[in-house]
Parts: sequence; structure tokens; C-alpha cells
Amino acid sequence: MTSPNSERRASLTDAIVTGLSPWVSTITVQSVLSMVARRAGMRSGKLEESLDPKILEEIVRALSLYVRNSSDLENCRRVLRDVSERRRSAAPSAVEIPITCEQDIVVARTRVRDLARALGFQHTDQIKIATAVSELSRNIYSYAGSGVVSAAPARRERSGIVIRAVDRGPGIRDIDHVLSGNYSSKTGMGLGLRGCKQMMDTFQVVTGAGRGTHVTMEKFT
Amino acid sequence: MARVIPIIKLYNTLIVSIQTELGDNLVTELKEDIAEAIRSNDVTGLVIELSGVDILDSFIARSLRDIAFLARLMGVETVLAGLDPGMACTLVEMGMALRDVQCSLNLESALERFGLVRPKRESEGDLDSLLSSEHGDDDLAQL
Repeated sequence: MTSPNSERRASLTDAIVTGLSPWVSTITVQSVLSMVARRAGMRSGKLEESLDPKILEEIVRALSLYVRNSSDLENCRRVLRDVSERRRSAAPSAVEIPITCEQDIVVARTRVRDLARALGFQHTDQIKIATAVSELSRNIYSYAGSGVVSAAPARRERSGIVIRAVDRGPGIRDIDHVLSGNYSSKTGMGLGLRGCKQMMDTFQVVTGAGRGTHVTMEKFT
Repeated sequence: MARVIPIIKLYNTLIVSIQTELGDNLVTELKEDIAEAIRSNDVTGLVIELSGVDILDSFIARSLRDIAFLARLMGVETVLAGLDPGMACTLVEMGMALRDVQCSLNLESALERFGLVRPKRESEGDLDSLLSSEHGDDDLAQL
């Protein structure tokens, strides 16, 4: 199953190549882009979903070696800005998965992982995020019966993902004990919640006997 | 009902390659199917190949460990093969050490543990005889 997000990500280079074709050849654009991406420390050597202004200027500077006419160069800059702007407005959006049956656990982790990939997370981080979502979804299913898992791009200066898992179940009586690592349930290895805490960058639980459970966690790219 | 995850017998070994998303029911089913397959086949080893698995969360990890325990009780050793590097990192970070379970990098090295080794190709055999005959020539020359 390919998500529309992954297709969009794959075609960023294509969009720039097409946009700049009146002034620069395909090969030149591709080598400029991969050079800028590498220099910016993007491990895959591939540009992210949208171009931040600094990267954009880097690309223009590299292009200036090939585009001598200053008004042509200005046109290139404008095209890059347009492409970047269009991407930002079409940025991946939030997902929400109701958890009511066992199969929803797989649906939740798959859809959140697709979002994480679209947000530019590396392979290992995608797995960590999917694993954490799987743990939370299973907790909802086995202890509360039903609930909702949602994920969205983080609203901070740093780009990332924020994940929420909410249920109206019996709550966790002694959350500190569960997170201490000395606790072991019969369904998992007693590591579910604590594992999530380890793998994510921020982790908060609001819970108590009879109050349901509300987990919020974030991870940054 | 057809099995979703095939269990294949290869000489003294059962091979289970998981190429689908593992739901909880599927894992439980797999456990029972493997127990049944061990009972009805004369094998000494079980290889579970995981390169096609999307994630290993605590439930799946525990189920795999249970399968390995169960197999051992029936006299069969289990090797997990083909764990994705990202998944290995996640397991470590979550503290899900599969301590009592043997692991191999891939299916080939897992099978080698059970004595199933790659047969020598003819060309390699030729090379060997060539080398030894060369060696023999050297010996002759020394004489």
C-alpha cells in the first residue's frame, strides 16, 4: 500500500526539475539538489518535504554557477519558492484512528507510520513510532475496550510528530509503579508504557483509577 | 482455512517466513500451528524469518519468545533470522531483550546452525583440485 504522502515526497525533486527546466538542464538540477542536501546533512542525500529558506538560498547560490543572467536566476528563486509553498500547504495532515477491535491496532500503527514517513522521519524512528503506537493501541484495546489514537505534525519550532491515545477505561491505578520498570503485565512483557517513554522525546500520562487514560507523546525529526 | 503464514519443512528444519503484518490473533494462531507442525514432523530446528515484519512490539516479541520456549519443550531449537536493524534498535531501547532466543543475521546463517550448508559449486571444486594439483607440482619441483 503506497500512501499519497510517500508519492508526494518522492516527487519533490521532479517538481523542482520541471519548474527550473527553462533555465537549467535536468542533470544539473539533480546534482545541485543532491549536493545541497548532502551539505545540509540530510543523511539520505534527499531533500525533505518542504524547503526551508536557508536551503532554498543554498540551492540558488549553487544554481548561480550555471545561470549567469541575474533576472533568470531571480526567476529560478521564484519557482523554488512557489514549489516550496505549494508543498507546505499540501503538508501531511493529522490522522485519527478509533480503536474498537484487535485489527485496529495494525491500522493505527500503519497509518501513524505513514504520517511519520511523510514528515521525514528516518527508518529506525519510523519503527520506534509505529512500535509505540502499537503498544498504546493494544493497551486501549485490552484494558479499556475502546478509545482513540491520533497523530499530527508537532506544532513547535522543531518538526516532529505528536501522538495522543485517549480512552475512558478503568485508568491505571499506580502509574509510577508501571513506569518504574518493576511491573510486568500478563499480556506484554510489562514494558509497553515504559518502552514508549524510552523511545519518544516527550511522554506524559494523565490517569487514575476510574478516570480513563490520556497519553501524549512527541518525537522530533 | 488456509494458513496465512506458511510453515515449510526442509530436511530437519521447519522454516516460517513471516511476510505479513502481525495482528494479535495471527500470532496466537501461528503459535498453535507451529506446535502442531513440530508434533507431526521429525525436525530438530525451527527458523522464524522476520525480514518481512513491519514492527515487533512487546506483545509480538513475547509471543516469539513463547514460541521458542514451546519448541524447546518439544525438543526443537529456535533461531530468529533477518531482524531489521531498526527493529533490533527498537527492541534494545524498549528493553525487550530476547535473551533466551538465538538469532541469526539471515536465513542462510540460521540454516547453517542446523547443519544445512551451501553445497560447493562445481567451479569451486575445480579450483580446489587445481590448487592441490598446483601444490603437487610444487612438491614435484622440489624433488
